[in-house]
Amino acid sequence: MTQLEIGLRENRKGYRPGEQLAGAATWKLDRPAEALEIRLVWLTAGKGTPDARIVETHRIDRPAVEAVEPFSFKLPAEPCSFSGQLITLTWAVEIVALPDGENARAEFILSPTGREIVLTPAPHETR
Amino acid sequence: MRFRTNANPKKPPGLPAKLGGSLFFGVFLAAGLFFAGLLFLHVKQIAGTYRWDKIPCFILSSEADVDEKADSEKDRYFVRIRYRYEIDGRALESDRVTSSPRSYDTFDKASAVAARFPPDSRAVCHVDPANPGTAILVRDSLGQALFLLLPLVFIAVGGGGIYSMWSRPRTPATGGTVKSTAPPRQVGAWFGWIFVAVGGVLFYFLTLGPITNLIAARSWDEVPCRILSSRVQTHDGDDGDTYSVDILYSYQVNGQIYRSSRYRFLGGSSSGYAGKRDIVERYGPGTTHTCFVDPAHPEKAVLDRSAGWILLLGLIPLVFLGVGLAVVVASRKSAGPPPTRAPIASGPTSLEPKTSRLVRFFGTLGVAIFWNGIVSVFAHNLWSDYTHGRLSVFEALFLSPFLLIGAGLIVFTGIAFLQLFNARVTLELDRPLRLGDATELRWTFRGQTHNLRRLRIELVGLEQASYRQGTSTRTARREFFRQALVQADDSRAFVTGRIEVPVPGDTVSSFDFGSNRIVWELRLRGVVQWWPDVDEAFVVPVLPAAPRADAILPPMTL
Amino acid sequence: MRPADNPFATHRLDQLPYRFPGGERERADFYSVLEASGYFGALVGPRGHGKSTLLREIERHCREQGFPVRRFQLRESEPPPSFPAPTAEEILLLDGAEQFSLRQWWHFRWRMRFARGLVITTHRPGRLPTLHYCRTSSRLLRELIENLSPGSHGTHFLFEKHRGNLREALFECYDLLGTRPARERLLAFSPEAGTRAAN
Repeated sequence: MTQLEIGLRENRKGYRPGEQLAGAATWKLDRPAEALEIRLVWLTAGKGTPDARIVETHRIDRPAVEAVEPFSFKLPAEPCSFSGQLITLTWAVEIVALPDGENARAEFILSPTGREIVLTPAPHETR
Repeated sequence: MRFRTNANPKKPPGLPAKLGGSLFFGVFLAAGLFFAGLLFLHVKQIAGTYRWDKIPCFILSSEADVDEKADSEKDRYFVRIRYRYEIDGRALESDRVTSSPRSYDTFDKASAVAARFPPDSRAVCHVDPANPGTAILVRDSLGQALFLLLPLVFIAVGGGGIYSMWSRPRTPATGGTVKSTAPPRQVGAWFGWIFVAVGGVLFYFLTLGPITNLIAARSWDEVPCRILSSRVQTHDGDDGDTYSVDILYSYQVNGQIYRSSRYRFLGGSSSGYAGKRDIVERYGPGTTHTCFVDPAHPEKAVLDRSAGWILLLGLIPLVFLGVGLAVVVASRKSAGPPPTRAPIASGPTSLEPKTSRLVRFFGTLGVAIFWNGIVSVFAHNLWSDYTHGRLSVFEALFLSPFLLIGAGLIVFTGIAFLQLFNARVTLELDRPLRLGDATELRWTFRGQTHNLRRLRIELVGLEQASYRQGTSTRTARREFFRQALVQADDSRAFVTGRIEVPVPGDTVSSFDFGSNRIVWELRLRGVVQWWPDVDEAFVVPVLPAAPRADAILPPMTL
Repeated sequence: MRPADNPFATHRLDQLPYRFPGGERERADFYSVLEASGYFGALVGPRGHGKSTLLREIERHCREQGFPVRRFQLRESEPPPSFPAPTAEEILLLDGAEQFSLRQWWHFRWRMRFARGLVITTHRPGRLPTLHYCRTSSRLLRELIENLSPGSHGTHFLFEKHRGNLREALFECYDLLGTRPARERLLAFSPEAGTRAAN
């Protein structure tokens, strides 16, 4: 059975915009794959139809059956990870075997504080 | 006062409603087909003359004249031209100017035709090759084919209405969230352009033409003229007769006698017999007055070169033009989601309201005119039946929903109209809003500010999530941020002001994910006593926090 | 509760399988009928009764059988997508055939006449032979809710309120559940809670 794994350096979960996100992808394929893609993605979930976008891709053509590949992405300024009432936005690094589509993912938080921004429904009165 | 309109889901029409609606639209379809048919035959006949042979001819005599025996309801000026032409060695004569005999309501029009073919001149006539004895001097314009557009509108309305009655229904939305629909932009634009075309044509003939003449006539020569005849001309109308002034006068320029019947530049008839009678009495036959003559074209003259209140009719085409343009502009606005991040200027930014009041008003007005214009025909007949004691209850019941809708549209139009006169507000930001930053917001009211009683400006952040499943789309909205920036009851603080808008850093910036969005708005509400409130919303992009000066960030320890 | 953790978030609803009232036996019968028909027919039912869900299952089934499949989605207030001519091996799936006018439908049929199969979803029978009539029940809704959020009860009002439209009912569950603290979730499904959420 194919095994795919994404590990983030020092197992960090929180990152700031503009930081360098580094880690390594590990795989053990049960059959050769055309390519492996390590993707930096964000995804939404909640009440609306899920959205997703691949921000950056690191492609490995004709990969070895078993290997470890380091990766590094410069994180953009936005969008930041947040959770409201209708939408949760999550960042992740995922590894996808092509053409089968088998994948694994490691989620992380991107925000100025390194913590998920929580949008509360209460009015924010400051005056 | 606050007015809200809610979009209520509608049930698909049942069979009786379908039949009734088909009957209603069938009237339009039948009328359109009938008139289109008549017009088509007429245009076909005109087109036939364009295949006739062009033969040189000699003008024997040419003059404009008055038919003294004409009924008061008919145009009594006509052209008398006789000409000679040769076919296969045979000399033939004809006095036929156009395909069908034509008379004119003013002497000037008849004179203009006669002037094109002066006596003892050579011209070209058009001879029917199948019948050389039939010839005309002037072919009717094929531009009349454009009038086919008018019955086509009725055919489109009637056919489209019947089709929509019987085409498969769209099951209405259910649930508490808003159903996302995109307006029929193509149909809206089409109707808009029709209004623009009609307005443009009317504007040219009712406004631009007469005003141009009025301005030019300021430099015309003042020439003595003698009144040959004067009368009030009566025109039959369905709603009663209308009247116009018909004065024929002669004048002399450079030894040549001219005749004209133009009283003012904008002719036409209207109700009100007394005023016309006074004019006719003032310009009695045999009296001498001063007329104004175009020095470059002495055959053009006018008795009264003042504007007259009837020129106000020239404002009507502006309504059609405005409605049409508003509908076209509104239908061109994108119905899809805005781009993820539109280019944002770095300096001061003026904000535009989400919906223009003018577009809202003209859009409502256009729909109200269109709807009530059609319904009024039937309402008028119904009223006429009622006054004559032959009212049909079925007809009245059938028409009543349409009348109610028309009344509702008039009310909405009235509200939108009143809102036009509300004070207008412009908002300007010193620089784009950013998370964790404060920006100065300036507002300025212009117009009717004296009746503003309360002002509230809020910064609102919204989550928008659209869910598609199957064939329908729902959109849910939730506010996650609301901050009152201005709450003023003192009208002195309304007209203009400025305030610092702090945006917290622990929230999210504007973003369009696709089906999900983060939207920020500045909402402004001005409470107006005994008048619709000023209620505007301005979408304002909120940018992420400014990047930090130090490029290398220390790692986070979590 | 985070939207992503809400049991009724859309990505969880999209993964719900279609439930045949007669269980697995009816499912097996359905696929027998589908194959016997040459993958030609219609899934009929009102909105929110699972037609799109069943169509997605049929798509997976066809792919597992080795057939090339193409699925078209018609949406209200959007222009129809383009329909390239199919190959003779392709099975076409059309979601939302009721959006087509008669003229559009016959044009589509003519254009797709060489496809191996055609399965559509529609609100009313008539355009193609009915393969299955999608039905819902209060019990089914209860089971789905229990599946997504164990321990919830008192859901019968949702079924009546939304007239059998499970999609709308589950949509409302998102609000009923997500806006309340954890201790209230078990009590969330009651007529009173539904009224408060609606207001």
